[in-house]
Amino acid sequence: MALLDDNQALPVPDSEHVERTVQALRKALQRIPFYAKYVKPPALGEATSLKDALAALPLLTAAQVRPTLPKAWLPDGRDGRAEFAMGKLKVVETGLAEDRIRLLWDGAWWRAQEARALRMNKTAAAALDGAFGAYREAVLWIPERGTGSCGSGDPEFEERLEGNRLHLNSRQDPTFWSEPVMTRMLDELARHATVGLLADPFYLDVLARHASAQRRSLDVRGFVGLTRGLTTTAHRAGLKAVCPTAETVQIYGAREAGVLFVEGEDKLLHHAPFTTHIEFLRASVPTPGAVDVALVVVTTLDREVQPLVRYVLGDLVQVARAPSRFTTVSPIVSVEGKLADALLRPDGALVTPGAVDRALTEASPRAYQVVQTDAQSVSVEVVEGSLEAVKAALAPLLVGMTLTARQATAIAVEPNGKYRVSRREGLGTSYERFEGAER
Amino acid sequence: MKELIDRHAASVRPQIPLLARELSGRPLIFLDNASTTPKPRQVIDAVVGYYERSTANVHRGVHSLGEEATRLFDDARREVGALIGANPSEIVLVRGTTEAINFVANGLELGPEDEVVFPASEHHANWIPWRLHGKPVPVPIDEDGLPRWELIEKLITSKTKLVSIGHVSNVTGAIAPVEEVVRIAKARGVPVLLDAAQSISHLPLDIAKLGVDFLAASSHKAFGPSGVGILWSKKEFLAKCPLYQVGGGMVSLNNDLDVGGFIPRDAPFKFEAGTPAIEATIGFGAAVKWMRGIGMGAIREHDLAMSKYLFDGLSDIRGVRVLAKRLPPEERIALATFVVDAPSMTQESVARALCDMFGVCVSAGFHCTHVLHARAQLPGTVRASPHLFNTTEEIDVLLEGVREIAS
Ligand SMILES: Cc1ncc(COP(=O)(O)O)c(C=O)c1O
Repeated sequence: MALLDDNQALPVPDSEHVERTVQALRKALQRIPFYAKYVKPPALGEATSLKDALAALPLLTAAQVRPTLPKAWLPDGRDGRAEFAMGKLKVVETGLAEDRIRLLWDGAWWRAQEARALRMNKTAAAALDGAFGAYREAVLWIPERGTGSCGSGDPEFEERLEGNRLHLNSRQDPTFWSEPVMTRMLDELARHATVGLLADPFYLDVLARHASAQRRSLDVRGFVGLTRGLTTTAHRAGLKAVCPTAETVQIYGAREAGVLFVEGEDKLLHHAPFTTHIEFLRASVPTPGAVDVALVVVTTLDREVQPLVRYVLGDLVQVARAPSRFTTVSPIVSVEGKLADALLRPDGALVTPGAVDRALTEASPRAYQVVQTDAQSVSVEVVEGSLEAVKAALAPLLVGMTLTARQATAIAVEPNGKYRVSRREGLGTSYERFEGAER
Repeated sequence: MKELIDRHAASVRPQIPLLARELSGRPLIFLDNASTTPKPRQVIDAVVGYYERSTANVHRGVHSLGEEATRLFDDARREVGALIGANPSEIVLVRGTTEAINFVANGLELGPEDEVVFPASEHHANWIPWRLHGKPVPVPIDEDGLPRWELIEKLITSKTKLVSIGHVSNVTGAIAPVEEVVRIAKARGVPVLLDAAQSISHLPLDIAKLGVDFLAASSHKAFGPSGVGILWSKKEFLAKCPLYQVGGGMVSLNNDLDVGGFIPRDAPFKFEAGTPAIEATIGFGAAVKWMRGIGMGAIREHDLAMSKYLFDGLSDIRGVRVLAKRLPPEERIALATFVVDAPSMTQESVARALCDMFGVCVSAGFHCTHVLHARAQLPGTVRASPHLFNTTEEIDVLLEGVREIAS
């Protein structure tokens, strides 16, 4: 397939997106044992349109994937054992205790689709094409390998190098990173001649603040891709201070599906072609502080192993009222965080983590976490910020709820190494607040 | 004053199940908080909740229960961090104040000529370690057991490696002039350790404001379970402090003998070998959360009024010598140590009589401060240490009891 226009770095639109999606659906349903056994889909007739095909298929949730083994997701006829032995496939886990799933991970596929998606951003595309020197990237997020309890030590620089990609981090929870560890990361960014840095914004924030304290900058020549978490206003400010020139690019991806959307020069996040089809299930309840909120449902197009069919990813987005560039899927204005983390107001309204963050732009605490503890109560922990200002800023969003604010010196990390700006304790899935997900 | 004390007390009493207990048909009056505090329902629920719902080891559990337990456990370190204004990475979980002070005594690697300056009135936890590590240089105390702070400057010499002070005396209730001591010690380049065993649940603490280098405290004196406490110190010290116990959980990599050595994790984890006191730590977190919910300011407000009420009452009783009663309430917490002149009764038997006759629980003896008692020539003492949940009515019963025994 022609991925790139001859005269420009940007990928060309996929004119066959719809047919491609129908084919992908058909293929997945035919070849993957899981769908035959667990979902028992009706067969899709030859003439089925995408709309009809999707309507005929149930939504798939993490709860259904969770109790399955990888072998249920290997296409008939593939020798999983051999591919595991060769390292072509791996089993990885993603998600937290409640929604953790096992995934078949094809590293080569991931890298290819990620590089393809990054090209939707002009700066990233130029970077990949050598505009800032030979393309070399560094990644900063949960270590794939490294110092846990009784772990495997600190791998050396060379051991953390995977082709042109450097894994900066080998330590868990950044709250506990030591100064030498952070200084090493700053040094390595320079040593690696990093053009693109792909980072979890929470992890990057800790490093950025260390750099700031050391009066150093982040040596990134091309762009900083923010991925894997919600980038807060404070994150942006912290990053800007130590990395004023490199462009930041918001990347919305999911380990189980690939890169879904990438920020363009128009600040909208555009749908990446060839990797997924996205359905937006619109919120049927008010979403104060956020516009055109939808729940993301993904169907993968080129995942040979563990293809996903109408999978509820669990993320919320603000859908943009703008034409799509590369597929039939609308661009989005923002990733709003997980539905499981959105606050549920007693009047039925849904407050997204994104809406919470925008409300806190003025108050601008260094970090915070909002926790809904029961139907009526919300508590917010604030790191370096005025409790009064935070409460005042959140009050209009949380009408009908009691809000308590507490000072903190650090926000809790999740056991899987991710940070959440918002969290809801045991109040159900709340799918019923989305059109088409009520069942 | 009465109204304020009783209002605060009334708001928390229903949350503390122990207070519903009776002793020989009389309501329990718990006035022994300097020894240990009763536990609020929130703390009990947190501990029981771990047993009933989330039993698992922490930091190594791969299943859902392990993740839940780890989250609850880690939250305790964050809560304490928020309480004292410290980053969690600077908080080592230990067994209590005693272990925390021993940790520093060991970590400073003191030689026999290295001097440690501390008030002679200190608790054994801040006395005996300096006999084992370094050379003790006690600051003289007066006949009331109060340190003669004006002498501390002269005692700090070029050999002084540490000044170690109790924030609040467990005998006199006196609040040490921490910022002044820090100023003097810092001028000579000497670090300061603060034993916050008694202050952590009574006073708002902010390590930045206090300016100390080490802070030690116990959970059980702050409404939490026993078996856990903290040492707070700066990252620089924790980075170079030697390991004194090693094992599982603290190590990042253990190579076979022919391959290499072992790699410890970063602080604080490298100091926390073995399975920690998981449920106690979770309870500690709940206790700190409970105190913070009430507000340390509100707790201190009750404490100040209570201090005045208690000292006024005791001072009126003939045959009772109250230690350090000249201190104004701002320089003390609500803790009164006194000697009851009751012929042929030891102070311990006075305390037992208070329990048996009035349902009042107080401490008696030397309160782990033999040197203070010897120097002040005290035959043992009785100590009443109220806290937030105590009412004026309860103090009235104590006073009635003391009055009766003393006459
Ligand atoms: C002032 C002081 N320091 C230290 C300690 C020792 O605390 P722990 O026994 O919890 O280690 C106490 C306890 O009585 C105390 O009052």
